[in-house]
Amino acid sequence: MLDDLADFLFTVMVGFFLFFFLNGVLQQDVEAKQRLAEEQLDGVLAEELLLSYLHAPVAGEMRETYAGLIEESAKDGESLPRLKEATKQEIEARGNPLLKGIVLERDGERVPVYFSVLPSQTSEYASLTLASGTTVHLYGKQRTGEGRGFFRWEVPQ
Amino acid sequence: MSRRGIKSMDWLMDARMNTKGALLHWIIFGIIGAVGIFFITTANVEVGAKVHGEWPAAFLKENYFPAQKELLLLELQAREKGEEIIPELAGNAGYASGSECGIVDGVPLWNAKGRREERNCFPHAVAEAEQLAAEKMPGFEVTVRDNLFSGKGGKKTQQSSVGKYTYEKEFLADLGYSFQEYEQLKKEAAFFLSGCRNSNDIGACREEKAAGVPGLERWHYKSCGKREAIPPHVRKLVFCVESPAGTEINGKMLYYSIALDLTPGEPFPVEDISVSSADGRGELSFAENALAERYVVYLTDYAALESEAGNAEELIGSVPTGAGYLVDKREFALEALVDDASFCTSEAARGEDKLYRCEGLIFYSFAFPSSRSGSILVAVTAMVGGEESEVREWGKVSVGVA
Repeated sequence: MLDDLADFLFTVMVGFFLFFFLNGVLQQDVEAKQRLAEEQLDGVLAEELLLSYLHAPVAGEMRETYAGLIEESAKDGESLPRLKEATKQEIEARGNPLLKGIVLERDGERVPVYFSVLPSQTSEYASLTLASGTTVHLYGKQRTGEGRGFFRWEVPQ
Repeated sequence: MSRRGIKSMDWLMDARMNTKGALLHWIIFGIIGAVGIFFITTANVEVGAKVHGEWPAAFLKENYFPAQKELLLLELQAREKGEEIIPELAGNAGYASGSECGIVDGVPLWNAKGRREERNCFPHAVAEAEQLAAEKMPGFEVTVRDNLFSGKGGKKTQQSSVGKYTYEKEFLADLGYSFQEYEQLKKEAAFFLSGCRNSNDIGACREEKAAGVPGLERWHYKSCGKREAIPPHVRKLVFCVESPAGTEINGKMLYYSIALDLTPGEPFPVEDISVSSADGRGELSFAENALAERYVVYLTDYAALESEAGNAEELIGSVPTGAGYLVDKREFALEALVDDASFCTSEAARGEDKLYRCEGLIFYSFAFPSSRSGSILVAVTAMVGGEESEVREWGKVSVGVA
């Protein structure tokens, strides 16, 4: 009588633990895929955001776009301060977690245009090389797994 | 041993055996638990769960965004090329190639003055801009409308491992400049031509008209920077014209180079005719005619012509024949003009029947016709391209027989 009860309890507990473990394993995989999907979505949104930033008219200018201003700044140094100020306004006005910083890369040299947070708290999401050879890098919220201690490029302040 | 004692021994043995079984059970249970916990914490078990939105994300990244990036670069390229076209066209009087009216100093003419009629060669700036734009953006059907420069290059397909994305390869760039500026310049040129063509001094005429007509003050001879006076003998002129809207392209002011033919409709009449007598000969002087190729001097004693003006041949032809009136006609080619300043100070040094040029005036000494007394009328006309100017005034000198 007691044997039967012990067998029964044992089976129930084994079943419970098996269910618990399998559920944990499944849950872990689903969460990983979910995270991957979110990261992919962030990547897509960041690409769209970069294109939208480059297409956007510069504040106060009806026909000049950020892309045009970036190309202009490649030819003369006078446009860069204007680009920095306009980009600051643009990033702050949008308040998008995927748009926290813009960096230009010319001849291997990186020029920060604007960061709304510390550059070490951001991750690179998208980039585009323009006709002049200038590559525009878009930085957004820090990606999961990219810890603060992780060695990353630091923008000089 | 009693029966009861044997029964309790059996139970004891059963209990010992059950304890062993239970222990075995709990050990297995512990192993399962440990393996389970190990799996949960360490193993990355792939159970076949799909990543949501994987295909759309891949499609966007590999097809849509590359296409959008290409269109963005195309738009930037179009704007750059469009901004090249504006000064290029402006520097060539609005022509992509050349004007049918010809060129002056490398600048196409907007008009040409023929012997009888005038040809108008105002450019169709929008069409010229489109022609130039088509050369700079090959493979595109370009259009220029107001400030907008657009082009269609047909369909293009972006292919990748995840699919195909077909899009229209086209661009639209705001140039911040309208080719309609040429319409304003055409109006100003037409006004300039009609107002100053028959003026002897185009520079002075331009100054005078500019005071009343807004726009003409932006027309400068040859250069917008260095102000030059318009030479009196030059009638095909190149102008540098400032943009009516004050357009700047890449921080540089836009200037147009336009050539106009301000050749007058007919030769200018010779003015400021003055004649006197000295030492038994006549001393004639008149204002130099900038366009004259030859000068014709008429002498007559037919007094009725003094107040007459008009065609020289007709006036001279009206002198009654057979009444003994003096009619004399003398022609001088421009090459026969003496350009020596030493003759300007001394009338006596000047020989007869020769023309001397002195500071904008032409001097001519002539012997009075013999056996004549009374007054002699003198008229001078200028010949340009076979056409003779009208007689506007007569000089008069009294001649007495010694």
